[in-house]
Amino acid sequence: MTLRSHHRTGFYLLLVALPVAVALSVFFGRYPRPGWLSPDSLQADPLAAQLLWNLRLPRVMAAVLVGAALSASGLTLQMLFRNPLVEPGFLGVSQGAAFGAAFSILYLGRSAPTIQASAAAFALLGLWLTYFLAGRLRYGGWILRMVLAGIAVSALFSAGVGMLKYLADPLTQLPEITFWLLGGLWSTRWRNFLPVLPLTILSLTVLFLARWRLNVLSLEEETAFSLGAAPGRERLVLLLAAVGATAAVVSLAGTVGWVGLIVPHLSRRFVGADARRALPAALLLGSLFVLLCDDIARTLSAGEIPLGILTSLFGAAAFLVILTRLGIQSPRH
Amino acid sequence: MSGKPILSLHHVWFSYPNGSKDVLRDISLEVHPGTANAVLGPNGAGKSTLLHLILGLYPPQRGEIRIGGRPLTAHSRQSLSRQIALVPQREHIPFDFRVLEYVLLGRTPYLDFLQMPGPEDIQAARRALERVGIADLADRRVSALSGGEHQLVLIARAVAQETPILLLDEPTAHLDLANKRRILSLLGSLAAQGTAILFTTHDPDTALAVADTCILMRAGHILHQGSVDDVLTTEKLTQTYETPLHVLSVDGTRVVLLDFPSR
Repeated sequence: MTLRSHHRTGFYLLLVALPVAVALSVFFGRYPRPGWLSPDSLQADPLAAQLLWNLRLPRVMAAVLVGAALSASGLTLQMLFRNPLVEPGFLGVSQGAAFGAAFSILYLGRSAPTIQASAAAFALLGLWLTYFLAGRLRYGGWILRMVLAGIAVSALFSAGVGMLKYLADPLTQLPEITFWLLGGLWSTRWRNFLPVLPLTILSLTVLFLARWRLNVLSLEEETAFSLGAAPGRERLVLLLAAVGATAAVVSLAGTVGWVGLIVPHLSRRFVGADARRALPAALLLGSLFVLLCDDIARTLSAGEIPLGILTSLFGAAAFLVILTRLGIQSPRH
Repeated sequence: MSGKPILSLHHVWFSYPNGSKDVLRDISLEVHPGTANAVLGPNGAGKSTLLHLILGLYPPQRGEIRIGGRPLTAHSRQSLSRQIALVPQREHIPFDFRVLEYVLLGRTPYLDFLQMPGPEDIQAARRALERVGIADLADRRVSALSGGEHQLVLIARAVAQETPILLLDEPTAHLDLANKRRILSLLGSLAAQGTAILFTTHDPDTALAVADTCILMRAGHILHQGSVDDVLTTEKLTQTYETPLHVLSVDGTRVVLLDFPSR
């Protein structure tokens, strides 16, 4: 394959930028004062070492994981649904997770692992409901039915979230729900980061290995079929992997918007539409994007800025630029 | 026609699962290697459904389809995709692949679920582009192609599949005259190189230009089939399309003219 030289340059740039950003992020923060923490002070200050190891490192790694998972899922879903405007949350997954988290805050418990487990469970319930409803709809093809069912299930869960917010104690529970809905990594420790790791890594590995097949499945049903694919079964495998990764990281970080929509677009722009390159690029670019947003979220002000606000702000801005200046990269036919 | 057919249908009946009426009724036909075969008929005659059945998208309720001497049902999906390639009528491609990347998708029948195409697949894709005469388009984006180029790229992908049978659904439906001519002569040369070609069209001139045999369909049924000379006559085409027309011979070439009484 002729890998165009600027594609290759873009890819290597990302490959170098991510580890550099990770290394810098670990030493960047507001302790003991805003700015850099010199590696020398780690030996002198036991509190700094502890903070670095127990708070900053898991948080930085979580940001990388959230970015990679949302972006790879977004790219996968866009190709499976043959629609460049789809994002990981649209199958009822994000709203399901939000409902699960709010439900947990009100009724199950407010510890991070409990909220997380409840969010993941309801995210998967959202997907299942969407799938179940899509199977019952008597209208349109597979893609249209999934989209319609996803809209309905998302609306159902967001009505549920509204109800729970109304019922919540405005002084204790409501702020917590709101902050979770806005998304953030402030509560990340090793003990809630490590449990989401296996499912996320497994899902991302499946997506990475099957990325050529993703090209095939982005073709029309009869074409994919005539090329020897089993579109129904293969789509389900990749769909489960994408949603698994999304549910896992949403349970950790809350609803972090726009990453799964904008990063795949930017990746395709950098390295082309072929998923053999676009998917690895999305993994790297997504990681970098969320990591930088989270660095800002935790350092810009003394209080925490919700991560979801920043990703939405930068994501939507980038999207507007692409739409108005560059045009969505989509053929006419 | 000498030799064994590579594709044959024997008394095939088909209706869609939730439809009551038969879309295809008692279809029997044979397609031989190295021939171009046109399926002609008005819109809604069942031409596209016929192609879908041959692809294995739907099973017939009655009758049998044989491919390469074996029943279609005896083929795996992969083995079928190494026998038959499809050029769909139009393909909406939502992502902006390069032409070579897109044609490379034709190598899928030779790759397992997690397998990436290798150098020999890329060679095959380039060979397909050359056979179709568009090697110069390899690095172009599919969004930047004209309608005619787009159709050639679809054919190149099917050629990259390296199958003995090629199905085309209305290959010239949206093309201007120059592109139509280019596609038709390409089909002729692919057939001359040994490929068995079956294509649908609602335009008799397309069949006259390139087909060896012709199948006239109406309302799910074959009215006439045989050599182009025998089938494409004023009487049989008028019956098929239920509209007044004339088949004329101009300097030895037959043309079809619609009959407008006012002129």
